[in-house]
Order: sequence, then C-alpha cells, then structure tokens
Amino acid sequence: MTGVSTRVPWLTTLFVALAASLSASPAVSDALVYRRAAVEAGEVWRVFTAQWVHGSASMAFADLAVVALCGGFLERRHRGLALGAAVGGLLAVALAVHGTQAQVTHFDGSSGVAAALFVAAALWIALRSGSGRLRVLSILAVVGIFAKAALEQWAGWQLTGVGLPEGARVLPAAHLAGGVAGACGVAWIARGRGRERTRCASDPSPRIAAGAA
Amino acid sequence: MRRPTVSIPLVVCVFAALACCSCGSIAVRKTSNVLDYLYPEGTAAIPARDVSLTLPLRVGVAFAPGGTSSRSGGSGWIDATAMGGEITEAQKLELLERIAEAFGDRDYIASVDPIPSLYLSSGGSFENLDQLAQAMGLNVVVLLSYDQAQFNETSNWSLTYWTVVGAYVVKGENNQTQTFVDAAVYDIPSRALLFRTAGSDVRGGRSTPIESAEAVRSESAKSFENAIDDLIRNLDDGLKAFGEEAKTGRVRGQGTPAIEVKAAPGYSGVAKFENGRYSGAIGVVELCLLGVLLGGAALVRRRG
Repeated sequence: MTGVSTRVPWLTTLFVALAASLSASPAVSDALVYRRAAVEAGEVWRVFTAQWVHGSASMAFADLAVVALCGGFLERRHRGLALGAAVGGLLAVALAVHGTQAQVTHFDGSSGVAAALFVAAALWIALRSGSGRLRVLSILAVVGIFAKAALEQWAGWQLTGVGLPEGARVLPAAHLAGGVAGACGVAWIARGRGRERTRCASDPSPRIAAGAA
Repeated sequence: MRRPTVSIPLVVCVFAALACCSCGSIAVRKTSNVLDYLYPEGTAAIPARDVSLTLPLRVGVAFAPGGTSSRSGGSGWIDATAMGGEITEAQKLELLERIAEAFGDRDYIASVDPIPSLYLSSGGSFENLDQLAQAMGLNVVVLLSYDQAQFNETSNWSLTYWTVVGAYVVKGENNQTQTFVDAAVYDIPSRALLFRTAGSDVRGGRSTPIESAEAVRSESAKSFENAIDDLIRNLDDGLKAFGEEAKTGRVRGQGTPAIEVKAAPGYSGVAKFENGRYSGAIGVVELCLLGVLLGGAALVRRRG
C-alpha cells in the first residue's frame, strides 16, 4: 500500500473524543438520543446526534474503537474519503432509522458510522494493496460484515452486539446502511481516479508532454 | 358325604355386585369468573375510554372473587365431600406472589402488588377497583379467572379393595386434573381491557382409595402452580405484544380505544416498554473481522 501520510487524523480524533464525552453524561445523552416521538414533535437533530451517544460504556468502547482504527487508517491516506464515509454513514443511518424502521422508537450508537468506515477502509485496502492475499482478505471482510448484518436483518439471527444496554436490540439496518455508504464513498473515489487515468491516457497534459520532450 | 354345591349364577351375581360397588367416578369443578365480578347481572354497559398510561406502572394482581366449587358423582370407597374444595386464600396469595416476583423487576413496572380476595367484593365491578386504585395507588390491575376440573375414576383393580389390604396398597384410582387460568389486564381509570392471556395445565396420576382425597388436593395445588407458570410465560409474551401494539396508538388494533404512553417525570424507559429500543452496537463478529484484517495488513507490511 502506498500514500500513507504522517498527518494526525484529527477528524477521527475529534469524532471519538466528542462521542466519548457526550456518552459519558446521561443527561446530555438523554437530550441527544433518537426518540421517534420527539423527532416527530420537531427535535430533528436527534436523528443525527443519536449516533454520537451510547447507552453503555462497553458499547461505546466497541463502536468507537472501530471508528478510531478504521477512521484513523483511512484519514491518514485519504481525508476526503474518511470524511465522506463518516458523513455518508451518518446520513444513511439517519434515513434508515427514521424512514424505514418504524419499529424503532429509541436509537443510539455510532455503529453505522463504524460500519461505513470499516467497509471504506477494507475496500481501500482491496483497491490499493500490492498483496493479492490482503486484497482477498479485505473483500472477505466486507462480505462478512454485510452477510452478518443481512442475516440479522432478514433471517432473524441475533448475533448480539457488545455490551448492549438493558432491553435494547441491535439494529442491523444501521450497519447495512452505514456499510453501503462506505462502499459508495470508495466507489465514488475509484470512479474519479478511473476518469482521471482515462483522461491522462487519451489527452496528456502539457506538463507531461513537456516532460516527455 | 355330600359336597356343598355352589350355583354358578350366584357366584356371577356376587362378583357383579362387588364390581358395581367398587366402580364409580367423581368430578370436582372450581371456577371463578372475572366477568361476573366486573359486570354483575343488571349492570349497564360500561364503555371503555381512551387509555393514558403513565410509566412506570403500579400494577395490582388479584383473583376475581366469588369462586364456586361443585362436586358430582360418587364412589363406594371414596368420600366425595373430602375431595376438592375451594382454593384457599393462602394458596391464592402464594400464586399471586409468583406473578409479582416474575414481573416486579421490569423497568417500566414500579411495583406489582398481590391483592387478597378479601379486598374485592363479589360483583364489586369497577367501583370496587376504583377504591383499590386510590387506596393502593394502582394504575393497572391483572384479574385472574380460573376453571379447574378434577376427575376421579375407579378402575377394575378396585376388586382388590375387598381384601381390605388392597385398598391400602393398590393404586386403582385414576385421577385427572385440568386447570385453566385466564389473566385480563385492565386499565382502571379508562375501564379498558388492555390485553388478556391464559395458562393451562393437564396432569394425571393414580392413587389408592385411602389416599385419593389427599392426592386430588395435592394435584389441584400442583396443577394451579403449573398453570400459573404457563400464564407467566404467556403474560410475558402478551406484555411484549401489547407494548408493540401501543406504539400504533391503539390498545388492540383498529376499533379499540386509543392509547397514549407517557413517562413520569424523571423516567425514560418508554422505549423499553414498547420494545422499540435499538442500538447501533458493533458486535464480536465485526471486531473479529477487523482484527483479522489488521493482522493481515501487519503481516504483509512486515514481509514486504
């Protein structure tokens, strides 16, 4: 793999620090968590802010560990992709929770963003790695994360999350939505690079032409 | 010497008479009905109003008063009046405690109070429940009705009872007990039936005629316990289904009273009651996949 920068992944650091501190205060969490009735009464921000708070410490640890590792990895290589995957994940999960999951009256957790960054990071490795085995491993990891969420969503399997709050269930639709957002982000970047490469091949820029001369 | 002759028809008649004396069946039935308590004869219709539940709930649980018990049939060896009998107050309280214990730890239930039957007047209807609600601070009441039928039948082995020893050692009595317990959950202020569910138990056994009355009583108690355990499981499912139904804004679907679920100040467990609490939680599978991927990447970097 190439293109590793030494810059600090401050976007990821900021996300993790903010989510951890918001989750630490029950009063703040209560004001930010998703509640369908409150959202329908006008508190629209809850659809997005719910993904920054967590109902239990172990759930926060698991979610934010994945965000930190995958977000940090991606941000050091392509900040735009990291930002795009995270924002795309937030939006996709918000839409999935409020728009398609009518049974959900309460939601929290940043696993959707974590899934988006995971898929984006794995696909990035698959596209950029020089090792064939690592590429296969990355693809298998992406297939694995989607297969698990799909089994939970449609086959009714309950592969529990880490340290769920009492009475809560995992929402696999959030993982699916986040994963799709991450994949779309990578596809967008890959498509842009593909176009650039095609343009360079058919119409060399004056600088390249001058260099060649 | 002339041998005494025994007439064969006489022997047959004696055995037939003995067999008839030995045979018999007894049926014991105990019932209590919640409808007789809430809507006694002559009561005008009591329409249910829209429901407004404030969580956490204070729930009362009681047997509908005015239970009856009846016996029919008879047996030559068993005193029918010694069998069955009405379920005692102590037994009722023990069964109510079981239910209270099973549901008392729910976040959206502040308390479950067993109510002795003495507090409920026969045919007392909702006025009686209103008094209880005020006295005990209840929002919701679970009223239990029951129907237990016990049958005792004497088998052909009863011929051995005439040896007297046989009555003590031969288990020639077949006992069967069938119990059905129904729970109706009412919101007291609105008079609305929130949901209902039931539990049942069927059991059988054999006993000697001497121990029959005791065996029947013991089977009755065991059968009630099993039916209540079954009811607890079904109540749990019923409660979940009711919570999910409540999200739709109706108590039991189209045409039933509207329901609004509110939280008391400082309480935030409405989602738990409605079974609508979900979390975006990364699981062990995702963490393992990430671990494998990171491990693979580290290995490739080290080699290359």
